[in-house]
Amino acid sequence: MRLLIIEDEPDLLRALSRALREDGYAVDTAEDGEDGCFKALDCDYDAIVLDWMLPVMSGIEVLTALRAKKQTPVLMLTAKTAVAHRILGLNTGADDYLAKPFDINELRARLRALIRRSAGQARDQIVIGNVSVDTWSKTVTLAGEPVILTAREYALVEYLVLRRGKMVSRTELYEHLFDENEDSLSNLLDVRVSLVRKKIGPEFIVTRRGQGYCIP
Amino acid sequence: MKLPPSSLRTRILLWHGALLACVLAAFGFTAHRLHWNGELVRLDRELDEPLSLLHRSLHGQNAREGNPPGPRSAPPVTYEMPKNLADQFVARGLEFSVWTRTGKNLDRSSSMPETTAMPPIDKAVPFVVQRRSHGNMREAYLITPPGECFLVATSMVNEQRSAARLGWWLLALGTGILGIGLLVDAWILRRAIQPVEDIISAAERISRGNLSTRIESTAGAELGRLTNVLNKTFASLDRTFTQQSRFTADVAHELRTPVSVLIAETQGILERERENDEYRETISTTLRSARRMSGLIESLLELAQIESGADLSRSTCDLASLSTEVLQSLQSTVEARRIVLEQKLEKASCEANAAQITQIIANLLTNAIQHNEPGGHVLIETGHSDAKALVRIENSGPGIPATDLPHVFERFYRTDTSRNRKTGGVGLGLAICKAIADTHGAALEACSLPGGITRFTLRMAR
Repeated sequence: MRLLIIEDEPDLLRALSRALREDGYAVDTAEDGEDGCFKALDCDYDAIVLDWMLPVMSGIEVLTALRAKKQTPVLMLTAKTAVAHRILGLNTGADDYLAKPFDINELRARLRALIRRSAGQARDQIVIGNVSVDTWSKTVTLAGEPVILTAREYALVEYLVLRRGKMVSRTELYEHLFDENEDSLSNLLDVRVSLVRKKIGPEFIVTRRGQGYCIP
Repeated sequence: MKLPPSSLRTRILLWHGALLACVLAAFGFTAHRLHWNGELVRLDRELDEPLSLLHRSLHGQNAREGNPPGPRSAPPVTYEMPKNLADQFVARGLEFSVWTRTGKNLDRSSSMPETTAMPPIDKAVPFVVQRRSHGNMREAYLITPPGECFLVATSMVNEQRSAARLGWWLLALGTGILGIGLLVDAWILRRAIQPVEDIISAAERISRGNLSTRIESTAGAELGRLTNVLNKTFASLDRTFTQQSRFTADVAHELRTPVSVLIAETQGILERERENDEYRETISTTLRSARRMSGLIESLLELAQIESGADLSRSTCDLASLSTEVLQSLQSTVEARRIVLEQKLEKASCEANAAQITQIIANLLTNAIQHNEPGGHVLIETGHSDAKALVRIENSGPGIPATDLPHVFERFYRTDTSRNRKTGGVGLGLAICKAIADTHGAALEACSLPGGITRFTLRMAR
């Protein structure tokens, strides 16, 4: 899952991106509205965390520009708490609204819910054969036994599970599982897929040569 | 509309009603009296002729029977009402009675009440017609010098009835007028009191917390003035409360960001074991946030203190020498940022609080240096203009956009370009300057000049 955080307060941006990276998200950051808008339009993020009061372009302006082109889920994270602001934010196209100061676990839960809904899943628990994936606790069980996955491995499983039965290209996986600072030409993805297969089973992820990966 | 018994309107209405009732009663009574007196005069005139007829007839008989008029010498022997006269009297509804000088009733008409006594003759002036009312009879009588008495009477029943009718009519009329008067009075009072009611309802709305309400303007000099004064008061209350609530909202907003940083950082770091470097970094971030909140609180307190007007001892101070002091303290910053500083300091004395004016100059100069590009230009000028002492500070640099210029003195207002938190500042510096200038009755203005020059001017009354 790849996120974009647009926040002008450097300390908060750092704390947020660290926490979300530790959850296995690939996180891109932007410190002003213009940069954030450019990135949001350039790349298909799984969700965007957007501040309201930003230099150059306000959060609302970014949201307006984004909504003209894309449906990326947006969570507004702002110090503007008035009801009128919440309404304006949601009406402009935000999918969720969280006021500062916030609890980081609430932010995580809301982001998870946003991503889950945008993938068309209403529940946390997804069962495929004898494999069960819980997007809330970020755990995978195989025939009732927990499987120990790293955060990045789990992210791969979750991304494919949420798009079960669909062919997901390598480019798409790179776009959603790696952030802007990682080298997309490496074989990191192949390594990760083979690690997951070792832990869950060789048939769990199917490779279609030249097309990508799929969980049937 | 409800009228509480103690209301001003009720009392005025009651007094007016009582007054009107008295006046009407006096008029009614007078009218009734005049009417009654008129009736009596008419009756009396009607009785005059029969009385003289009666007198003449008796006088004639006396003369015939050799009873010369004399002081109570002897009573007339007989008296008999001539038949034709009696008939005439009866036909006209008149009664008569005749007494001798000894008081003996000589003759009287048949329907004359027996109770009718002979009028007292002692006080009577002879041959002058006297009148009296007796029961429902009006009587006229004449006493001769010897003491004989002739009395003619007529019934007043019709007159009394018409007088009573008049009385009732006057009473009804009076009551009607009183009622109409009270209604008109109530209407006038209501119109006169309406502004007061408006004021009361506006004050009630305000007391319920609707501070934007105003009293509708009303005519009338006294209440109009009161309305103006109250509206001004309401407006200033409204302004104060709006400022207060906006300020509270601003403070909450400004505190939210550092608190968010604190919570997010500490929550993140506490989730698992970390490297020492990570702990160090997090602790220094939290320290930075705490310092920012502390700075905000200090600035807020300072602002509150300035606005409360406390500690405003004034003395004669020279803006040029204050500026020199500030420049000395900022020397190192100027050098570090390689600012080209130009000074045109002329003596400019004014009455002011030296510490506060120093703060204005320091804040403006610090801004001029910090929001400047490295190697930029800063000009400080002091002097007199139009009987004002003034300080003018100009700096090159990115400049302030025209849309932001009117707002630079607002609390927590930051232009987009200056909103970078790395330069520090909580957005209260210029608000503090403005507050100080306001307590001094001085003018502080900002304007943009061509070429990205920003100019701040402080004008002090001398």
